[in-house]
Amino acid sequence: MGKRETVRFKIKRFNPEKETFKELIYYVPLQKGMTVLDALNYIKDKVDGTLSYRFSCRMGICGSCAVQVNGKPVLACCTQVADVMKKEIIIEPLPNFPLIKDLVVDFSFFMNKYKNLKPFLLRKKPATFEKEIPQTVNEHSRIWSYSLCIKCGICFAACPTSPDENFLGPTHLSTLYRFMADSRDQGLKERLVICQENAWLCTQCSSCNLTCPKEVEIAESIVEIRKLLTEEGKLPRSIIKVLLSLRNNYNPWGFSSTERNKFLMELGVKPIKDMFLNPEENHLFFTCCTASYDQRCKEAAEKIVKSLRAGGLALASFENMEWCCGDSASKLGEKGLYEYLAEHNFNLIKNSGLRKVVTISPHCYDTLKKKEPYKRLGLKVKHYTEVLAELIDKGELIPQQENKLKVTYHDPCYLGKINKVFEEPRKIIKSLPGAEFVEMERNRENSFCCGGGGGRLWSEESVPHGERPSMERIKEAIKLGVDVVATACPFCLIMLSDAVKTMGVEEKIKVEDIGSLVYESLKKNP
Amino acid sequence: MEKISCDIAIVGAGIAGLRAAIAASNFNKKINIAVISKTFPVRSHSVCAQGGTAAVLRRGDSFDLHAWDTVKGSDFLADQDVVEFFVKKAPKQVIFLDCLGMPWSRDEEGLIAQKRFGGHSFSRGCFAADYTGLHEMHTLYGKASALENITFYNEWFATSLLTEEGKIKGLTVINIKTGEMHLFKAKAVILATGGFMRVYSFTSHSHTATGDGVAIAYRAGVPLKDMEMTQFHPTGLVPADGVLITEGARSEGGFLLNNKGERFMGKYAPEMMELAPRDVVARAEWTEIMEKRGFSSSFGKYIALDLRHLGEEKIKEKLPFIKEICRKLAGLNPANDLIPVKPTAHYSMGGIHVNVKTETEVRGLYAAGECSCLSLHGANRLGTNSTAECLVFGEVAGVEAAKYALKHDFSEAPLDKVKSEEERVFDGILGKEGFEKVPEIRKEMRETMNENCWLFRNEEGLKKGLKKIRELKERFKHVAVEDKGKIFNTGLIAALELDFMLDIAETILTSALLRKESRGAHVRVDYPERNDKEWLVHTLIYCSKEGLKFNFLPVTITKWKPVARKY
Ligand SMILES: Cc1cc2nc3c(=O)[nH]c(=O)nc-3n(C[C@H](O)[C@H](O)[C@H](O)COP(=O)(O)OP(=O)(O)OC[C@H]3O[C@@H](n4cnc5c(N)ncnc54)[C@H](O)[C@@H]3O)c2cc1C
Ligand code: SF4
Ligand code: SF4
Ligand code: FES
Repeated sequence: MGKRETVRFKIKRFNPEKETFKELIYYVPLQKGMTVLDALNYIKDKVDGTLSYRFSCRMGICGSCAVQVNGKPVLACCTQVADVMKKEIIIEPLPNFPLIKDLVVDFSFFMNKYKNLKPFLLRKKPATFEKEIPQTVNEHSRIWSYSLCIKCGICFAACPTSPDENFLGPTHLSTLYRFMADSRDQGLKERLVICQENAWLCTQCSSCNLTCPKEVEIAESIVEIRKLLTEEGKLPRSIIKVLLSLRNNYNPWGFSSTERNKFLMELGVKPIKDMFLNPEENHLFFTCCTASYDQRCKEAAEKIVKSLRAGGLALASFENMEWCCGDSASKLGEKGLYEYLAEHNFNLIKNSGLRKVVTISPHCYDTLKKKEPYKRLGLKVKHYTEVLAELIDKGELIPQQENKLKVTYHDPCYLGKINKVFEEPRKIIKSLPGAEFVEMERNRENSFCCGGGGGRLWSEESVPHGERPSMERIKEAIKLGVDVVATACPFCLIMLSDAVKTMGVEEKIKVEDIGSLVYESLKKNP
Repeated sequence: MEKISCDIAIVGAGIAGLRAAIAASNFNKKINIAVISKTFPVRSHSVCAQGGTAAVLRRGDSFDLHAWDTVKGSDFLADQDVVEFFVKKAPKQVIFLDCLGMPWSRDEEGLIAQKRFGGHSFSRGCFAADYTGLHEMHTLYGKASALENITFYNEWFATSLLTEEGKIKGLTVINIKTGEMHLFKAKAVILATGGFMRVYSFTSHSHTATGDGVAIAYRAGVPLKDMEMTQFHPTGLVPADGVLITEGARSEGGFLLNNKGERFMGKYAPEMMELAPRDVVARAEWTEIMEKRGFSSSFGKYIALDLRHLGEEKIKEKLPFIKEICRKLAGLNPANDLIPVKPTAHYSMGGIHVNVKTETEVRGLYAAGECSCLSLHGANRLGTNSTAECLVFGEVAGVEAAKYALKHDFSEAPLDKVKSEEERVFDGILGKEGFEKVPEIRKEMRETMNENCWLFRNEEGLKKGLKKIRELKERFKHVAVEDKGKIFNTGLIAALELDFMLDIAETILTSALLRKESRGAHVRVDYPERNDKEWLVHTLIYCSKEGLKFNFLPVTITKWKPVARKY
């Protein structure tokens, strides 16, 4: 490694005896292969013996050493310093747990909840422990990945819903599912009771999956639980309403399908009928149910369309023939319904010959891009922020109107952390004359969910809940003193602007779609 | 000081401690059981066990064969009555876990799959890929956490045993979260505090494996047995301070190579090759390195473990954890890269002297798991026999302690001893304004052990080591803990652990000096042969007012007379 490099660590300290917080700086000489735990040990042994943190196995299996590094919860022993290197590496205790001292948080409540799951096989006849219970290799593989959880608490720290006391949390739900899915277990009914109320609180933001060091597919396990709950008819009423509407109206909002996309035609979007549209020139504009029916989102959608057209894009739409992409049905555990909706859209798109798609919602984006059957079409799916950024970049769209605003950006989960579109929305905001861009503390990969995904948007009323993630997010933005929180997803737009209203802070802060901001800055040259 | 009463106090929540707790709870629902652990149970070192658990389950295998493999592996230092008892009880433990929900890997017929480990002549290692310990622990914890008569004291640190007239009265324990010491009054106590390979610097053991229970028992006058028998595992990951690469990697077909690209095990164990017992393979590696046939790196000399021919798919399916460790800790992909390994301090065959019922010489005090020495493993443990031991004898300890607790009443704990323990911890260590530092003494201790009490030992080195350890013990008297707070003082805990480890290091070196022969893991270059005439005995070490004392115990032989050990 040649000359020894020194790394600067900023560690958040808490002294419980004096009840004081401090941020202390430590310098650690970097060594080849050094992990964050090695660095902490260096500090404790050589620099400051009062630092407290936990560790034991130093091989990623005991779950002791989880801390927050540069805003992301990780296992210190499995994180190479070189991989998280910045001007300064910031180490903090895990959020969502009560603090004891320095980097040590209280796991008692987290561990105590474990026994409520009945984390052992439930059998109709009590086991005699005489014979093994056969299980095929296939059956075994169904529980394997869910059984690898080491109870490190990382997913719980990353989850926007875990502060809600009614929510069982990602760790416990996925462990519960591990037993539900075990071919040797006979206690499904008993287990469903434990989660029937709260499995619906998950927003499907995937923060858990993306941070879990054991790659447990936690969000998927929650969908599987919902599937089982649905099979048993254990659904909250609001969810039943959504599913029925999806079945009958092809949208979750309960509106008639004939109304869908009406506004698009008035804006000059081409209808895709029998007429042949050149797939090179034309983009399929996939609207999203929420943008079609929710007034606020519709207004934003109009501005997005106008901006795209101002940049010279030819857009075409299936009008009211378009159905919901199916994302919500799938995340609510209704696989059959998802397939029904997706099959319909699949055929429409296939027959139209169009292959370039622009979506408003990051959820449609994710679904059309990555999920079967759509995946088979090999579509070139773009989110509208990607397209706008490109148009601005090429000079085909020039924001001119100066609007003096301090703006921050809220990364939608399905655009940001799940699909890694981080830079385009930021580029757009920075290109707006008069806009001053500032980052929220939790951004990009570490962004915080609005709380609206996974069907939460509709389950808000009927499922008991505590603190809402959207309000926490607005608080974070207000701290920055911004005029506008920009975002790029209909769900985020609704959740965040509702939070603003509930909190009564309309005077202080506005929530805007990026498309609207662009449109406002184009106003003078339509 | 707050007093807590329980019928049985179990110190340690690893495989042995949890198994004991479940057994005691099942034995009688009226018994109240305290499980005291310095970490949350699932953080215990047992979660690190990768390879498997030995049990005779299928046709073709037999109790006698398992027993013979164990006895031969032990270089005939195992007590054969214990071995025979053990092999008969192991299968039931595997089934017990299965019925609780353990995700054992399966064979084509849907039955628990098994593979062969070093020194075993049959495929009898049950496994859950290379995550065996993790799953055993979470399975046991799942069950234990739901049993009404078990109370967990998580992150509570035991500091001493209270005994009087050869009888257990209770123990002193610090609640780490508050820093307060508590008196636990107990009718029976089970020590299940695990191993102590953290006395070495290159080790596969977790940082918390500091042998506290062994030292605590020793200080209470309980003899320690065969302390010189420390096992070195052949495949410690070189760029990561000895993190283990499971023997399972060789069971799946991995080779060991020297810098000439030769599978050198052919020279040392022509039949079993890479799957010879650990002592044999570790010595072969060390010999290759000393004879300049090792590889060099900035992390030191090493031997290569080659898994490349297994291919990406098989590695992913059979050794997923090894793949992850290699990637995250060393930046390697075992499907493409050679894995740099060398012997790593791995297991303590020795420990608290107990009989087949896990009883110590103190009435009401039991020990199980790696902290105990039943003389099951003798001079060298076979892979997969330890988790099996923790299960079998964890259950025995739970049942025996329960029987004892039902027959006895509480008796007053000696309060003067409690007081002097408080003084030792809070005035003697926490309150002290010394000039010595825990990390420095700890480092020197570990280096001393690595240098003088490693694979190949001799009188001169051992004496030098012992002298150094005694110096360090003197220096420890002047140690200061920087953190003066009470709440979650990890500096204080580290000091207490170091204090324990210094005692343990001293007993290891002393026993190693005593045993003037080479047997199993203990190799004296100055006495290179096994000497059954004089040394077919166990060494016992006591701590008494006059200092260290030792004694010898004969080895129990039932069926198998010692013969030359070839593989
Ligand atoms: C990397 C690795 C891999 C292994 N793989 C295998 C394998 O494949 N097969 C096999 O058979 N064996 C294996 N072993 C050996 C085996 O895992 C251990 O011997 C066994 O798990 C020890 O279990 P235990 O219950 O005795 O102690 P541990 O699991 O070490 O538990 C000790 C417990 O005591 C508690 N404790 C300690 N001191 C105190 C104190 N002062 N106060 C309160 N609580 C205390 C700890 O918190 C912990 O709960 C392996 C060992 C290692 C190092
Ligand atoms: S998907 Fe998001 S809300 Fe759901 S459990 Fe995971 S982190 Fe929590
Ligand atoms: S699911 Fe993953 S992140 Fe969550 S506690 Fe388990 S191992 Fe940790
Ligand atoms: S120290 Fe065990 S997971 Fe990091």
